[in-house]
Amino acid sequence: MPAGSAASRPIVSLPPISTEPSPRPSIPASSDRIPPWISNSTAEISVHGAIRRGSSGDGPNRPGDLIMAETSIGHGAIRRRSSGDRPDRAKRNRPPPPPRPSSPGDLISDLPDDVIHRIFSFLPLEDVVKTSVLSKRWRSTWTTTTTHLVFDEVRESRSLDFQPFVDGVWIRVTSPTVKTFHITILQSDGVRESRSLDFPSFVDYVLIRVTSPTVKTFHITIFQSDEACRPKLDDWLRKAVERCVEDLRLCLLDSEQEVLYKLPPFLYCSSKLVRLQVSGCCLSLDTTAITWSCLKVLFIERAELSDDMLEGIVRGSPVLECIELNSCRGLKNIVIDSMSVKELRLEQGFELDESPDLEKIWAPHLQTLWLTGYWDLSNLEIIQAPHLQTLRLKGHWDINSELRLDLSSLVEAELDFEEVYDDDCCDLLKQFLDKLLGVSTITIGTQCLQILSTLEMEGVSSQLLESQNLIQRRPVSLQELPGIAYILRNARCLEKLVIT
Amino acid sequence: MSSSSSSSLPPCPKKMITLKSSDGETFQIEETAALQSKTLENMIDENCASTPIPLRSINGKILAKVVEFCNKHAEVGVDAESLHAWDAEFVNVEYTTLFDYILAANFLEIPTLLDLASGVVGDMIKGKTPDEIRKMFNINDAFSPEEEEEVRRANQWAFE
Repeated sequence: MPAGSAASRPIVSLPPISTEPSPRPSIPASSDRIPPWISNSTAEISVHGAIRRGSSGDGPNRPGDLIMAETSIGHGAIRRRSSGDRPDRAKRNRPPPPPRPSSPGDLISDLPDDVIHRIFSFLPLEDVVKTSVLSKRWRSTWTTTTTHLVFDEVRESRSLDFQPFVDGVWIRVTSPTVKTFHITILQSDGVRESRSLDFPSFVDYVLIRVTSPTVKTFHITIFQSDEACRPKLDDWLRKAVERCVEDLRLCLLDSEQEVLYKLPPFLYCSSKLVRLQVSGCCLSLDTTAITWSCLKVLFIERAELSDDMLEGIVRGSPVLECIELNSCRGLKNIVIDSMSVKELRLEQGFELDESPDLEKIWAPHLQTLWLTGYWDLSNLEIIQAPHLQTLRLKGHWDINSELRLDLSSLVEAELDFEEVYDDDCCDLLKQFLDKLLGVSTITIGTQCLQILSTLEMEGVSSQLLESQNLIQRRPVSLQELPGIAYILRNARCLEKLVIT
Repeated sequence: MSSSSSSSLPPCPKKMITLKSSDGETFQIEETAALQSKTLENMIDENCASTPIPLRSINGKILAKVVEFCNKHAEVGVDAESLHAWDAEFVNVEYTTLFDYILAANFLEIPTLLDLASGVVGDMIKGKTPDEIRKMFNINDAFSPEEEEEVRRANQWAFE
C-alpha cells in the first residue's frame, strides 16, 4: 500500500524537476535581483556542510575560521526553523532531490556587485585580481565596476614584481566608476633594473585610462622622489582636481630634499576639496587668493609656511573645522579668527631649527588644542583661546616650559610626557596639574603616572588634583600602583577613576 | 486629570519605531538608534515610520541582530576599544549569517555594519588560493579546465 501511494506521486512531480538543468537546482529560477534574500534560507544547510569540509581540510589561518565552522550547525538549525521550513515539510512525499550532488550554496556569487566591491575594498589588489579565476561570474567582476584602486608597493611587494602587476591591472580595468586612486611608490626615478615602465609614465597612463568623471580620493605617497618628478606631480594633481577630488593626499617622504616641492597654484582654488593632506611640500602665497569652499580638514606636515599663508588659508576656507600642523617651519604668530575652526593640532618636530619660531597663538573660537612633540613652551608667549574645552599635552617638555593659557572654560585635558628624564619633570607636572586645577576630566598618561608614583614613594603630598574624573588609558603596572594611591589620596573631588 | 498625569510622566519618553521582519516578527527600536540606517532615516523624515515598517527581505533572526547592533552603536559612553571588541564578537558567526548581515546592512544602508561585515569577508579571502576560496564559499559555477587555464594564463602577471 505505501508503495502504491509513493509510486503514484512521483509521476506528477518528477517532470518539472528533471527538466530543470539549472546550475542551482533547488532555487527557483528567479531574477538576479532578489535571489540573495530568498536563496539564503533554502541554500544554507548544504553550505554549512561545505564550510566544515573546507575549513577542516584547508588548515585555516585564523582560529576564527574554526569557531565559525563549529557554530555553523547550531545557527543553521535555528534559522531553518524560523524561515521557510514548512513548505519543505508539506512536500515531504516528493522524491529525493535531483541526483546532482553539488550543493547550491554559492551565496557569495549572488551578492550584488556593489557589495562585492565593498568587500574588494578591504583586499589588497593582488587578491582582488585573483578572484577572476574563481568562476564565470567572477571573471570580469573586478575589471568592470571597480571603485577602489589601491597600489601599494610596500604592501604588495612580498613575492610580486610590483610594476608588471600594476601594469597588468591597468590594461584590464575598464570601470568608469573609479572613486579611489591610491598609489604608494618607493622610488619615483624609474631607473630600477628590470622594470619595463617607470612610475611617472605609469601614473600618466593610469590617469589617461581612468575615465571616471569623479575620483573622490586621490593619494600619492612617494618615498623617494627626484626633482625631475615635479612637473609630473603638477600634472597629476591637476588631473585629480579636474576630477573633482574630495580627499587629496600628497606625501613626499624623503627628508633629504633641499628645496621642497612647491604646490601648484591651481590647487589653491580647488573648491571641491574636503580633506587635504600634504607632506614634504612648500605652500607659497604668490598665487591668487585661496578658495577652499568645502575644505573641512587640513593636514600639513614638514612644510614651509608663513603667518600670512595660514591667515590666507583660514580666510579662504569658510567651513574649515580642523587644522593639523606637524613639524612645519616659518610660523611665528598663529592667528585663527574663524568661527568654524574648532580644532588645532600642533606637533613640533625634533629638529632644533624648528622649535623657537612660534611665539603666539590667538584663536578665540578654538575648542580643542593639541600640543604634541618637542616643545619649549618658554618661547610661547601667549595662547589666547578663551573657549578652549579640550587640551591635549603630550610631549618632550623643556623644563622651563610654562603654560600661559586661559583655561577657564576647559572641561577635559589629557596630559603625558614622551619621556621622563629627571626630577625636573616632577616640578613640571606639578605646574601643569596646578594649571589644570578646575578641569573636570583629566586623562593621565603612563609617564605622568610614573612621576606620581615617585612622588607617592617619596611621601610628597599635595592637594593639586581637584578633578572629578580621572582616566588612565593603559593597564597599570605594579610599579605604577603608588601613582594610583597618590591620586586616590590627593584628589579631593574625585568621583570617578577609570582605568582601561 | 489627563494633564496632571501627563506632567508626572518621565520627562522625555523615548520615541520608538517598529520594524517587521519577513517572517512577521516585530521589533521595537529607539528612533535615535534607527537613525544609523539611512533607509530608516529617510522613512522617519518622510513620516512613514508611525506604523510598523515591513522589511520583507530580512528575517526575524537577522533583524534581531541588526537591531542589537544599532542599539549598541547608539549607546553613549562606550569607549572605542570595548566597542571594537563587541563588534569582533558580533561578526564571529558563520559566513552565511555574515552575508545576511551584509545584505541587510546594504538594504538598510548602515555603513558601519556593512563595512564591519564586508571587512570580515575580505579577511577570509585575503591570501587564499582560488581553490581555497571556491571551497570556502562553495562557488560551483566553475570553468572547464581549459577555460580556467586560459583565464589563468591571461592573468599570469597576478599569479606569479
